[in-house]
Amino acid sequence: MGSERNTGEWLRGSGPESDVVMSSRIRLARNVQGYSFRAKLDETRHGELADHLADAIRRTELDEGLHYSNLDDYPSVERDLLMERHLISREHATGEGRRGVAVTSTGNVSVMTMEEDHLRLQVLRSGLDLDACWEAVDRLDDAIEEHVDYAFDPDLGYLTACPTNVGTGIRASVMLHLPGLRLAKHRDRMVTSVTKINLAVRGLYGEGTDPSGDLYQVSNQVTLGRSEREILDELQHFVPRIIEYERQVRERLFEEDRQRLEDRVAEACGTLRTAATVSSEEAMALLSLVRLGVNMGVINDLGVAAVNSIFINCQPAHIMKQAGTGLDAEERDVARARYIQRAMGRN
Amino acid sequence: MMYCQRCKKNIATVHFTEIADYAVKQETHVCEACAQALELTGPAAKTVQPLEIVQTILKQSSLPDELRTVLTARCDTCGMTYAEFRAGGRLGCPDDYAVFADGIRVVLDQVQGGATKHTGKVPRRGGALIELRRLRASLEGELAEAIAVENYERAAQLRDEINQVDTDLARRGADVDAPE
Repeated sequence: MGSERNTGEWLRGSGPESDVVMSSRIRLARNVQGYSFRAKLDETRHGELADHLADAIRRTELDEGLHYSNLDDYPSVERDLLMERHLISREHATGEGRRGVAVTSTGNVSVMTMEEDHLRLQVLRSGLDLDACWEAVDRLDDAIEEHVDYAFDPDLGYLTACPTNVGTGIRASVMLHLPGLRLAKHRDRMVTSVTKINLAVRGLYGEGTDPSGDLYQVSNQVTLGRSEREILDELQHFVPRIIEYERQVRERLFEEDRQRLEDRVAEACGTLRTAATVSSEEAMALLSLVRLGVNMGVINDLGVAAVNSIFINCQPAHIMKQAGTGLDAEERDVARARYIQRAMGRN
Repeated sequence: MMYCQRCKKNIATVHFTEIADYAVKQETHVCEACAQALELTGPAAKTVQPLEIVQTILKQSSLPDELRTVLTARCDTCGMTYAEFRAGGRLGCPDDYAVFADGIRVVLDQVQGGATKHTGKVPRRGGALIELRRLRASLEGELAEAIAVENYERAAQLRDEINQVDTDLARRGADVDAPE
């Protein structure tokens, strides 16, 4: 595990459209031929498959190197840390039984074993860069398939535990920072239009989570009947429209009420730089304004990369990892306030 | 909020609907205590799980045979029943897609916009095997036709081609007789 400051290349705040797009991600769901899905796998077969996959991953040749660990050996804070970095899902962090994770040293690539599907391969990139994600995950998929026989049907494609993933098994998503749409009360309009064209909108940590920090994930819903290319094209056609929408709203907000917005941004900065205690939710809400301020040129002594990194580093498990696992919620809020002050520099 | 129709004191928490010939005959709203007194302990008088609903429906003799077949289908490989899948939303094994094909079609209609045919990536290594097995099956078909019309020259040629495919399959470590 890297130091708490090394939050992964994908957060470096660069990449196309990084004023609105935090990151792009593609995950592929794969299962192994000859084995039942998780729900119907008895303990012996489950263990056998977990070992087989661990072995296959260790033998997989990847330029970046892929390091496998048994997740069930990890303390829960370490699992939450991986979840906060988007390397594993919430279900994988909190789940039970033999399961594993493999990551590259760059923190851009991860493989989950024995999740809802036997294998979930994932690649993250900074900014809007689905093409790079696809190229990398496609290569990873081929490399792993050298050692694993996938459950594949010529008609239905890759067979998955849930029919919502069958076919390509692909979920391509873009994480967007949309504070303007919230401030201008256009958020619902965006959500309605996105769902109308069959894309899904979710909060920061996926299904059923709140859009804290004004962070949203927009992803494809349909996985069958379209090629990976077509699915990506659809997202790449639609996401720039949301980006443009957000930018226009930001411009208009600043045109109409620049003074008030600058005050709000300054206030958020001030609170984060001086507060003795900050909860996770408060931090997310305030950081969202700070990020907006950086992108609108209101704040000049902080970069987008620094704000992105604070977003991740102020999550509960990251704070515990830095300040100690024994902390209760209140002590964590104090530790979080101290961390943010250090990271933002006291004024 | 509604008061118990029997004691008129407690809040009605048990709602019982009597249905006959597909029409609602009578609705009863009573409290827990009165429900027990009235012996309203049928499946409708408690919190029912989706699986129980399905099982209740299955007991009704008026159920069309076709629907019964779908709902009672069970996979020999993993033991999952269709009703169980619908209650939990997750399949038990890859074979379930074929075992519950009729039901899966309905599900795909809902979640995949009606798409039924994969047009994306094929496994790079495994895909080659699938193609070879497909080719072998089609050559077998042609061979049977050639024999039927007594075109022995063509049949011999096809046998050679099948042997070639078998050699290819064996070289890739595949079981030649495995189904597609």
